[in-house]
Amino acid sequence: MKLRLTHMMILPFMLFSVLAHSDDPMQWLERMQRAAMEQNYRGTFVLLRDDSSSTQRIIHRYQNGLEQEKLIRLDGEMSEIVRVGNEVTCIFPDSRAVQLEPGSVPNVSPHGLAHAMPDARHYALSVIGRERMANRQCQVLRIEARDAFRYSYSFWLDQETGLLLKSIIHDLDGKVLERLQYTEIEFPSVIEDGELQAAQHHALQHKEVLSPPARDQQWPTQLTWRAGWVPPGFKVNRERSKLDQSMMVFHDGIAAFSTFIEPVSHDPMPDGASRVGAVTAYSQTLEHQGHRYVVTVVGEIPPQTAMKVAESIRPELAH
Amino acid sequence: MDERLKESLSALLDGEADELELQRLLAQSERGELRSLWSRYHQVRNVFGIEDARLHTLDVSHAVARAIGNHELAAPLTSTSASQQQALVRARRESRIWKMGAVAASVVGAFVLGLSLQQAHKPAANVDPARALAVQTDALPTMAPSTSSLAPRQVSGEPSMQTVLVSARQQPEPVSQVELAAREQIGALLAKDAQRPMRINEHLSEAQARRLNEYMLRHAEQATLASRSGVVPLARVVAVNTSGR
Repeated sequence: MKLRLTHMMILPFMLFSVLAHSDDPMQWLERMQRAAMEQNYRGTFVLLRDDSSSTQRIIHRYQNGLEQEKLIRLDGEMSEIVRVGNEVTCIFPDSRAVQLEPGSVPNVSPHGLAHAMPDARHYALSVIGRERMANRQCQVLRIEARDAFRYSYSFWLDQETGLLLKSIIHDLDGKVLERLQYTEIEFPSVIEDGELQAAQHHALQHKEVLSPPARDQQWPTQLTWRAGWVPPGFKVNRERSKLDQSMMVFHDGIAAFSTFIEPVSHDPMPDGASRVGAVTAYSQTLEHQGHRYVVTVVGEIPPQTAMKVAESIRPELAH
Repeated sequence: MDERLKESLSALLDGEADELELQRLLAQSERGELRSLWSRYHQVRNVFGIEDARLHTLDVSHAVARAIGNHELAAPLTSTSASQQQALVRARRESRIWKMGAVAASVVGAFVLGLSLQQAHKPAANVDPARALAVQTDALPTMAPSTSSLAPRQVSGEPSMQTVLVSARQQPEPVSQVELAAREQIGALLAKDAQRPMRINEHLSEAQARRLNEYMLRHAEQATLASRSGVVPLARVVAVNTSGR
């Protein structure tokens, strides 16, 4: 009798926790972030942007705290990206490999993600239903921008793991800018090392390592850069800024953009915007006390936002 | 006028005044102040009579303001409307059992609300960034004919209004004065930006394209770690590097 009473008391709690889990968009986003890092998965997806599409294969493994993944393009010319932890190598069709300088990226702990959540002041989040995607049951999330500075999103998250299986990015008018959709996905418990190696590994012609853009020698060394304006809710990744003064990364929990500052070279980026799908790049030449520099803003933000950010970048003497 | 008299008056309005309160009101009934308050209370009642329409109007202006980024307009509403909205909703729910305190609160709320609604409609017609943006887009048909999506955003406000409307109603938040000032600035800046044409780079030299790709790769690497949406940022690079070269 006593036992049955206990059961009756626990049951509502269990029910409540299940319900809370399926309805809270924040919890779903947390699950999504965790799944992207900690799940083993192998799948094929299509990426549609403007009028172009590409099909890619992804293999992702999380083992002994190390994230490894390989992305390979299945149509058109072959290109690949291999990532081992923070080390990203990009292999182009001409077998040219480009690697970002190792150690340029700080380690991100999967458990220190609380700061990277979107704020309800900038996005309206809601769970709007369920839908089947890539033969999996998905939870559909709507992330609606509350202002014109950012885009809106729809996410389809795997019911079981939380992995993002479909995403649509739209602008303020509701126009679709980018669509990513898995056609098949599996979650194997074991992924062999061989699967994660670059397919063109043996054919690599040369490998170049990209280091941070050169500093202008005429500028004082203790110079730092500051964005005078960013859309509300975007925060700078301080760790990153410490590593490389000429690059800053901002994110609002959903979207991210980076700012790059370089002295004017012989073939500088022309002033103006380019856009592919949801990614905008905006360059602007600015001058400060006779020094000219080019600021480029790259990220999933509208061109108007990128322009405003670019124009607000100013040098500042560190104290 | 003393508070007790006001309370008596609202009690009378609700048919809840006792003998003593009636006596007190009658004794003061010749005072113009009391008469005007009485008529104002009735106006408020009328407002509540059509409160559904009123509430929707509030939400629409609020939502439209948010949708078009007109923070000058959104500010006065958001700053005061949270508690008022709650008061109104409460008042509606408890309309049968109105208590004096609730009435008093709602009265104040409703007057401020009516005021801000009236004010809100004026600036909406004058400085409407949505309109400014739309005009701007129309004025630039030759700028990017093949890449019209690169032109300044065409903001109609309508498509996203419904959804924003829902969200605005779900979460009315109080906004600090500092943020209000900031939002006003942003609204002004955004309206100003809409007036400026934006240059679109359609052709990049090989060196420029290479640098842009490098920027995209660096950004993608960071975005993968920052936003943790999984494969998306790097997939963009894989897609760009073949078609872009």
